[in-house]
Amino acid sequence: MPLTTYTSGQVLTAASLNANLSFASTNGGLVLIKSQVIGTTVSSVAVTAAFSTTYDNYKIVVAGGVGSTNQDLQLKLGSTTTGYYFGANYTNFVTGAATPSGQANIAYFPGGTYNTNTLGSSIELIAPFLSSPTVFNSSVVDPTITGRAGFVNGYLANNTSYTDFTLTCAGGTITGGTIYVYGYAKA
Amino acid sequence: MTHQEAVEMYPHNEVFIQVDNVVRPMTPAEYEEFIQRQMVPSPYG
Repeated sequence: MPLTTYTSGQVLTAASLNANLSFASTNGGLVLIKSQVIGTTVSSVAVTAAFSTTYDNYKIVVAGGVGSTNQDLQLKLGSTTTGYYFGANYTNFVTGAATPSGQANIAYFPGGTYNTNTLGSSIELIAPFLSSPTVFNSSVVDPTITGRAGFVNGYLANNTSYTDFTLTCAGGTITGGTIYVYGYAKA
Repeated sequence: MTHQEAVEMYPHNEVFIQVDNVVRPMTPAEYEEFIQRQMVPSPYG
């Protein structure tokens, strides 16, 4: 049902209001597709049925939880372990020194960080379900007082259509927190 | 970190793999891959 626009004096019925809320939940901006609570001392979390024809572009956010050590999350699409290309540029909190880095044809995207106090990630995926290369944008923050922060941008060099992704610990394990998957509304 | 240090830090019965809501123990092969990962720190960590 399309979005209803009301005029002054018009009666707002429950059915109409509910229809508008329903419209907004599936068509407005970012739409929550699914959330996954992370277990205890897991080294990887696979999220299935995340991508579909309903949305072309996605946002993955990981919030809460902790790690057993200070490390990175690695994002993989489906079972693909090759063809990930990205450029990164990190700035140290204390020194301001920038550290550019390029990686070609490796096994994952950098997909967030964790330490014994926190776990966080913010990833944007462009067209993972479409049969075209998936573009990847992520912020990476090393959450320590002598840490660093930066952006990572890249792509996965194949035309595979993906429905699933996995976040794997580069080292140690993670406990708790939630993985949220949102879709960018097409209209 | 050596192989032995990694095994002592992360015993097989204390690390798991999760698929959606299912958390399960690692197979021997998965555990060995996990241990190998501990021995080679990520260049971004």
